[in-house]
Amino acid sequence: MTTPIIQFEQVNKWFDQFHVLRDINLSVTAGERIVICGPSGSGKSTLIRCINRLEEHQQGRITVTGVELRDDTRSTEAVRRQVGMVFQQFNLFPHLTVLENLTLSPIWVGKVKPDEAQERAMQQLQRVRIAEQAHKYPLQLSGGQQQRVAIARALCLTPQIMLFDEPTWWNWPNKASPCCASLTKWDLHARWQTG
Amino acid sequence: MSPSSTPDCAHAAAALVPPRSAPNHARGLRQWIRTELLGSPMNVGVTLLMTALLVWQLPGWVSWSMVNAVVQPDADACQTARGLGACWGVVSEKYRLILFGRYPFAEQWRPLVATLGLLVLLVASCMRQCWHRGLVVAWILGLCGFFGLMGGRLLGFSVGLTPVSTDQWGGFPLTLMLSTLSIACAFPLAVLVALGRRSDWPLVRAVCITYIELVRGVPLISVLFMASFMFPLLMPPGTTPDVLLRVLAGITLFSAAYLAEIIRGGLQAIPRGQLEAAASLGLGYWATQRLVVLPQALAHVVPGIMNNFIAIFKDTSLVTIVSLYELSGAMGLAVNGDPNWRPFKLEAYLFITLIYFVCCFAMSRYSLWVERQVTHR
Repeated sequence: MTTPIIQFEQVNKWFDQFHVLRDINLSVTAGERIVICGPSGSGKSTLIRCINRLEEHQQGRITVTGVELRDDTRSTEAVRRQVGMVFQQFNLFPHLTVLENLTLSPIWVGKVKPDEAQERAMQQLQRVRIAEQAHKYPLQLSGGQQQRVAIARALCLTPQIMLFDEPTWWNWPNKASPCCASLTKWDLHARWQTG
Repeated sequence: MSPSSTPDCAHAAAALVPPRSAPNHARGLRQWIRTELLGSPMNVGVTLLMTALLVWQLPGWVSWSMVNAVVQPDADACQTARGLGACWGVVSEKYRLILFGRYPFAEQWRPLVATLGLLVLLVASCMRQCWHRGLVVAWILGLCGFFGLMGGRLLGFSVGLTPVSTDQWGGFPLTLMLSTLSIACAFPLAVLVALGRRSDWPLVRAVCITYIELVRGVPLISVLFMASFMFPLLMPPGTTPDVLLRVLAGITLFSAAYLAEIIRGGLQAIPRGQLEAAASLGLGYWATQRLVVLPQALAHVVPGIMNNFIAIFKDTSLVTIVSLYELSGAMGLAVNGDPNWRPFKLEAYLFITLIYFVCCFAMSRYSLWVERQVTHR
């Protein structure tokens, strides 16, 4: 059996007095795809946001790509480089062009040269079939286009793990939309969704 | 999702309409007058009222300021024209004293060159084409040049000109230098204080809040008074920095507190999701603030920031109380001390008003340009 890439051991989390995550035990191996289902407010988003420590847990252990998530910024930033996330509201940076959204982290965090980062970003944009919008600003795009940019942005970090918070594109009428087609072809080790 | 969606799409595709150019709405002057000035009974009424006001007031202004005005520096001619026409002679006579204050008369080419150089630098810094590393070098050289020319010495070394001590500096060069440097120093300080006030560290937060509340609690005039008269009393004799430096520090610290609160307003408008997106991309605190938060936060508060810059520019006139005669102080100096010209202070006031207005209006138009640059939708 391979070592799990994500491991939750007896994880508990409270929002004030509200006990949102209760004794979560979970282990995900590389390559697994998991959908987390549940009613609204049941803690789906909170669970996946614990994986890249956008939420802190109060009890238990979470280990991601072999690093335990604790209260120090070093380990948190190390894990975040391995974890891509697509938000429900996409959270694109409205003051940067689509291309700049994609190259921001590779240039400033990954220390990639700007030319190379742009080249890689264009490849990701072509993959989600939105390369022609590279020099527009996010608010000039439609919702669906913004979502594809958000996916491309997360992929630019070449993450081992992808997290999708409420990926509503799963419900798009046209199953053969370019975005979904390319998603199924991903060679990612693990893919996570809530919804 | 539903199987019926496919035929709908096919139908829409078959009837696809090719794009056409948008209709042209360019209109002539006549059309504009008809719709904008005479569009409704209310509009007609307002137009008539404003026309009547102009017809009533304008001839008087024109005859006072132009037709009956005395332009040559002749005090007797001004006396005869008093009440009928403006005495621009006071400006022709005193403009060097107004513009350069008590700076030695024979050496006034120096503040002139220094001011023109500073203006060129300021205008260049406002233009996108000039935003590269060379500009920093230009500023360092420019400021050395300014102080070297004005003072005749630089960092204690003579530059081959007659030394002129800072208490003799005055007029527009002083106004321009004080406002430029206090804006340039106050802005980064304000950004840090605004970030500090939202810090997770209680000590940093407490220091920033204390600073802001203390400074906001006192008037600028008392800050200047403290910087000028109280501060030297607290320092060991001989170690007091130059009065200009103390006043500059006073204005900077004062304005930074107000600016910080404006910037904090912008920071609060940034949604949490932006921080989370930056965090999920692995950006640390400073990278997040510099690349994601501040560009958006500052863009939100451009009007407020420019408001503050304009206020700083005009507030430099308060340094008169510590005997630094900047533009408005120098004007007082020029006119009050001369009984021949004292009756025509109004005209001298109008002259410096024009200078202040040109500067402030330029700043305000520039802020509109900046707003357009940072709006991406």
